[in-house]
Amino acid sequence: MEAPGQALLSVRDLHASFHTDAGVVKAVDGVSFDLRRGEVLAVVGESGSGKSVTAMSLLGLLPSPPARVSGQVLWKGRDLVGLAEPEMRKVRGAEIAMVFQDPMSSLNPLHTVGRQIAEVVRLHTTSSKRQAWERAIEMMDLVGIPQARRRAKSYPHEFSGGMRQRVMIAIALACDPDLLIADEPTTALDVTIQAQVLELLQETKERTSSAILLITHDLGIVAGMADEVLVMYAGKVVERGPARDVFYRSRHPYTLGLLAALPRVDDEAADNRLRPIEGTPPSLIHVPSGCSFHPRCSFRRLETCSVDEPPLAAHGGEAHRAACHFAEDVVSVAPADLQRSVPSAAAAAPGP
Amino acid sequence: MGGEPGRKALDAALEDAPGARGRAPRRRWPQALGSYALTLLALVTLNFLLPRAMPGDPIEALAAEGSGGFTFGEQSRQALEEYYGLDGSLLEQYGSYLGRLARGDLGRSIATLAPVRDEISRRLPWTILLVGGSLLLATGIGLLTGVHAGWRRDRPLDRTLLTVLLAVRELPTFLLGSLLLFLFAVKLEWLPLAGAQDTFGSFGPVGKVVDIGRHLLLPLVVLGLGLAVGTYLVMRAGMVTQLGSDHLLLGQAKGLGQRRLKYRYAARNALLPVVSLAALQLGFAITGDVLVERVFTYPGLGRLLFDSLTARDYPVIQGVFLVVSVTVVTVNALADGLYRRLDPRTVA
Ligand SMILES: Nc1ncnc2c1ncn2[C@@H]1O[C@H](COP(=O)(O)OP(=O)(O)O)[C@@H](O)[C@H]1O
Ligand SMILES: [Mg+2]
Repeated sequence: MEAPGQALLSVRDLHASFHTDAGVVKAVDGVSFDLRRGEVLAVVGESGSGKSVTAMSLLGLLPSPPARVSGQVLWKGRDLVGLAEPEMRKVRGAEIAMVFQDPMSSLNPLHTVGRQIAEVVRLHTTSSKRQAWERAIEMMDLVGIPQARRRAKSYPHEFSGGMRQRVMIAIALACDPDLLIADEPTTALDVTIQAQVLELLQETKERTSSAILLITHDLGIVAGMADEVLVMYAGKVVERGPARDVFYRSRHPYTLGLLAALPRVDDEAADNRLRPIEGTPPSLIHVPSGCSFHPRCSFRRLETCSVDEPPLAAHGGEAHRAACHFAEDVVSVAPADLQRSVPSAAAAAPGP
Repeated sequence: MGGEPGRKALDAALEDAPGARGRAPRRRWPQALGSYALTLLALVTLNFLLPRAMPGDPIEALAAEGSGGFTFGEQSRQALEEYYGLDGSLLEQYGSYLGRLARGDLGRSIATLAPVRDEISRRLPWTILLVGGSLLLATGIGLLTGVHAGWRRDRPLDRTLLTVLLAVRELPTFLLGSLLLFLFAVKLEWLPLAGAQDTFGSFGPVGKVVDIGRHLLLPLVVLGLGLAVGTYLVMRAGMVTQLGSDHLLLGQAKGLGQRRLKYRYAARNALLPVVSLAALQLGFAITGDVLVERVFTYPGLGRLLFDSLTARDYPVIQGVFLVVSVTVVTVNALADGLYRRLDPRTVA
């Protein structure tokens, strides 16, 4: 166990790239963060910003080749990057567990759900077959699957999407992991089911002292849950800090854009349509010079932003950091103002 | 191998292979039985019509076989037709064929006058040995190579296997068979040239088995290798699809080892398309068998079929086709059952 006060997980300057025929895809480019027990860290960003690759490189799950990972992933003080497979396997599923986006395809269609939960228990503990099966039923009960004992003998296709996601969470929690990585756990689900699954994750966090790394492209589901937020763009962290700061005192135009894209329930005057950020994320083979967000940014000043890459600098306290040359200008703008105050700049921004 | 139409069917099956999951939902027993019976009746009808659709007829063939230039007069022809039951309309012939079939009577060969049942049962064991053996061999080789190659896609082993096995597939059965015969039987004289056993030798029981094995080896390898390519390709494609699958990733994230992921997850899932291909493979095996038995002068059903086709020996052709039809339908049913056992999604 980590020393008191020390982070459970310390990621330092993590890089992950894919060497493809088209060139080197820099999917994760110098990501650092800390995660302590009992904490929920949300990683947000548009699709393709490198969230999943970050999660996968933590557990050494990227196929190599083509993937190359460097940097440090300090887990309870031990570096997981370059750890031998047999050692890594003892961490996976036991200490760090993962929940994936698509519960339909992530479960093995040919095994009963009970078996799939028991399998991970058998693997990481000394339980007998019987004990593992009982544990599986207990876990299914815990994640709110009715008639667990009977349903344990069912196959994934006999479950609804929400129930399947509960099964995946049961698999993840079966060995009492210290860290749960949930990669878009609700994206494939209906809105009502989404809320239930998030609630389940919340309960888990409260019941255990584990930490949660919640990956999502939807800032809306982060609000109620996350302690810390990490905003990623084109493989880099562009803003991070306590959730309250990132939400209410955003210092990066991209974060502001993500917030403005949310349908706002409290703002009755404005229409509730989504306002996505103009433009598309850049190719990760040819990332724009300077600040990689500058082609889409309504705050940019070309002579600065297209030349100098802004560092992830602290603003208003050590914890809140943003990588923007004009962070102090950004903080005075509310997401709702974004479209009104600088519409012409956004519209005039050239495509990447 | 297995001819051009077979190739097309295999290619089509390959395309479908990764998604070849959604099979028909489970049917009730009587319903399934009924549909098999109907299939069989349709096949029996086809078996009856097809030989008769070929140019020429048995009487002509008989004449051609006899002394050259000999032709039947109109009267003797009529007498012969009557004798062999070839008089009367097609419908009448069909009716009497069905009637005899219902009583288990397959008729007599026009060429040899021997009961068709005897002709078939004399040769059937050899064909079962050859076709069954090659299918086993092919399944073994195909699954083993397919699993390993697919799992290590694009690595040297995979590339080599792919090249070699595709080359084997391109090689005509006839050519491969003749080559091996020339090498091992003519040049090296390690293996016998023809037949299924040495009729003149007197062996003990062990010697007999060895002798049969030595005769079987080359035809078995030629037929089996060709069939193995199909299984290999489907299994490899299945494994490759599995490699990128989400459930494999979850398995990995659970901390499972490579072996377990490879066999319990990937191979087990990739097996399904292979099972659904079983009946098709049997079809290839039977077509291949006819060629192989001819190249190696193997005394099985393939030879009998070939000879009876040449002689337009309708009863024998029908008899052989019947055996083949029943086998294919049965194997199809068995494969269906196996598939349902292997894939819980088919049991609704
Ligand atoms: N196996 C791979 N080979 C090449 N590029 C990849 C691979 N996996 C992911 N990428 C690229 O890495 C980038 C980040 O992907 P990802 O982390 O999945 O984004 P997201 O933030 O949506 O989870 C994307 O541009 C994606 O195309
Ligand atoms: Mg993702």
